[in-house]
Amino acid sequence: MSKSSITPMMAQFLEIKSDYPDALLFYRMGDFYELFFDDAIAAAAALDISLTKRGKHLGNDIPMCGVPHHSSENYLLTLIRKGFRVAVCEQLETPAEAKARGSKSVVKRGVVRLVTSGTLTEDSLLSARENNYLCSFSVLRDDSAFAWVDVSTGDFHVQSCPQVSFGPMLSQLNPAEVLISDTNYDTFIDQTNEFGTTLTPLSPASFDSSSNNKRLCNFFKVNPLMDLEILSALKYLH
Amino acid sequence: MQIDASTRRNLELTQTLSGSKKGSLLDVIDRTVTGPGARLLEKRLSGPSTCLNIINPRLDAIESYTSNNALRLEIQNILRQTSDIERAFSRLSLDRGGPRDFVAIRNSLRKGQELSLGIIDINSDLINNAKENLTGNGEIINLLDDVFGDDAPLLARDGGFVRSGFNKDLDEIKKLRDDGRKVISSMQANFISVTGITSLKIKHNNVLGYFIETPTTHAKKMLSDEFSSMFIHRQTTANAIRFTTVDLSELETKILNAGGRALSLELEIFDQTKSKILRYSEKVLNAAKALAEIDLIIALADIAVSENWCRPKLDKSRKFKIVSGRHPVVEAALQKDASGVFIANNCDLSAGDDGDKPIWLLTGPNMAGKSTFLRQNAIIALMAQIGSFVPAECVEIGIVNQLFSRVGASDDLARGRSTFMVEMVETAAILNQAGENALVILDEIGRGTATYDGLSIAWATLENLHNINNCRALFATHYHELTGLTKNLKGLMNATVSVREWEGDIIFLHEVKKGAADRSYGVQVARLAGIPETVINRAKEVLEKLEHADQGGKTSALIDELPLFNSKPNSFVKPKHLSLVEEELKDIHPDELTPKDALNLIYKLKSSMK
Repeated sequence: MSKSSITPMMAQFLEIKSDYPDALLFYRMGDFYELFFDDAIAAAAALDISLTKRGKHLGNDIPMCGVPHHSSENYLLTLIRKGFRVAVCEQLETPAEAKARGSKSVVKRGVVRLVTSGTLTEDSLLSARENNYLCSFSVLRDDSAFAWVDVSTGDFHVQSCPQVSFGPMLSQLNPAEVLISDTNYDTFIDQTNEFGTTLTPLSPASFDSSSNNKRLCNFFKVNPLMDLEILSALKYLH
Repeated sequence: MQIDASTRRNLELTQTLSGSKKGSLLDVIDRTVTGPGARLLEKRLSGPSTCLNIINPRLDAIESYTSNNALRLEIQNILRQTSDIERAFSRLSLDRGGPRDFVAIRNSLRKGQELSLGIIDINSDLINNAKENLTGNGEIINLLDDVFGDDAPLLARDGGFVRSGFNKDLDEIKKLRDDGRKVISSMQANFISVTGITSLKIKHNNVLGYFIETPTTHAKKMLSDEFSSMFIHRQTTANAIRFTTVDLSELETKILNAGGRALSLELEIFDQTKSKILRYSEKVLNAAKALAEIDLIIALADIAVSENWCRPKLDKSRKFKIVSGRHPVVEAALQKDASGVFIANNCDLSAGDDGDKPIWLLTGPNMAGKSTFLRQNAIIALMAQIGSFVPAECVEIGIVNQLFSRVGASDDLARGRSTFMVEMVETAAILNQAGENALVILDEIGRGTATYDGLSIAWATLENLHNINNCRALFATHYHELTGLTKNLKGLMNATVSVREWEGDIIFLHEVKKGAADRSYGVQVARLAGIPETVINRAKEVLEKLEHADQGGKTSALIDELPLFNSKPNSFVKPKHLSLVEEELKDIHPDELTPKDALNLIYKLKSSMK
């Protein structure tokens, strides 16, 4: 007796999705970006589009919704504004090229872009007359520092910042997104909600001082720095 | 300048209290014509400087443009033709850019060059610096001009953006592709003559590629033996019938191939150009910053001239002198509705007959303009320190390093805080942090709780600001009792917003004058609001009774009795009054009394006890 099978396409989807558990996966299928499973349910509600099904997975219907590729930017913007992160997965080869490898092979796909409110660069998704800041706040024992960057312009600043000044900094910069170690998430979620800013928790490893120090030095091509201020910077590099 | 979140909100710097951008200070003073200029203004407004060496050059630059309207207009016209270099460059460096981004950079740099070549020859360090950054970009401009045509598609993979003449190989392949198209036209002509069907056409779609199409009326002819070897039938639709030929297929392949090769060559050129441009990043971004700076300076000069603003004089003292200050947002609103002229007001925290008066106590009725007056002074100080002219006749301010305000009621029920609690939290922040060079704006502290509690808190807060914080402050209140404090607090001055009573109604004059109000006209304002006449009359009755019961001199006596804030706590001990009996006994010497005298004394004492 064979167990309910997973289609090759679904297998590919699930593999790619496993890399992006916290984002909605825009999965390119021909002229559409489609979303499946929980992504579809969340997106259909947020975008006010119909939720349908496609095929079966382990015996159950697969929830699905989709948007046409050529008008996807508006939908993307709506989702970003609602605080979602979206991973955009494109077809990396044409169907013809895939067929050449064998009639059963699926078209190669891969995520080309992770869109979050703090990493927008398209003119159509940004407000021309406002900066769009991505910030990060890191706490190391008794010190803390705040770093901010506008990915769309390259503007980048760091400064030491006591925890009480977190709110005033949010008020001054009005950032789109703040990165924080998930151990500090609860401390700051109320304040970011008040300002309508997305708070994105990252694993504490992202805030590891020595590896970040190295990456910064490589990026800016300077000698090793020891300031705590620098530690708060750029996980945006990935 | 340290500005906390509530102050930013209260003063509506970049957003109104209801959360919209329209109607904020930023919205009203923004005359920039480019996106980068607008972003720069927002940044400056959110973070005013406290450094004279940064502020004064900006003021110098603005001043040099206030005298020449035509020049400003010319510069703005050129600026309008530039694009957002920063964002285009960022996209390219993140591999998200396209040909249009390159073209935007090229055209904007060219416009920048135009600007720098004489139009902005003005003696100002800031402008000269900008000029330098806009020159010397010839190399980049030429490079981009060589590679890219005049127009460009949004995406690189759409192709067609490389200028002819730039790359020989590319031009050849394109010719092949284009020639191929010419061959198709001649093929079509050929087929027409061979078949005699004048309505025969060669078309293209994604499904069939190139195909020959005729209306179905000719189907029989086309399918006949005569032509069936040449024309391979592909598709029949309701109106047409479609074929291909071997020659046509071969040609199509050639064209497609050429097209494909052309595209990949163009993409290669795109990537190479990108690497080259990235090496010039510093120059390009400096040019972008220069354009934004010029846009901002011209915009601020523009509004200074049209709205009659003056250049503020800043120094490191604790001066605060504003002559005929106006609130830019309120003034603009009045102008728009044509509903009256904004009444300008002076504020001088260093004018008094006996020395500086850094704290003004402002009393007066509601709606008379107290809050506006408070806010406008804070806003003028802030605008001066971003390096802009200000809405006043003359301004002299010592640098403010902290700006605090508590203006406006706000319930925070969602977080379980009442108006009073919010107010206390904000006031606490101010009292704990304000230093000597701070500017503090307080509106009606002590509201939202029982009258005496509120009065006491306001009282103590005022004393603290005067004695401990020692900062400049504007304190508006309804507690007239506080006006008596000028006796003890030497740095305090009373001011009031003038009103006139006219046949039972009040008229707001919106003028701030020295002196104290003795009443708040609350009842009159209530009547203006439409409270029923019966309620108003009753309120007047109650008010009269309350005012009488509150013995006139009671509070001034209170002031005399209460020691100054820092003195030892009041150890007021009531002097012991001796009773009559004790008085009598005090001077008696029992040894000198006869028994009869002693008995008489006892009778006397007993009677005095009655």
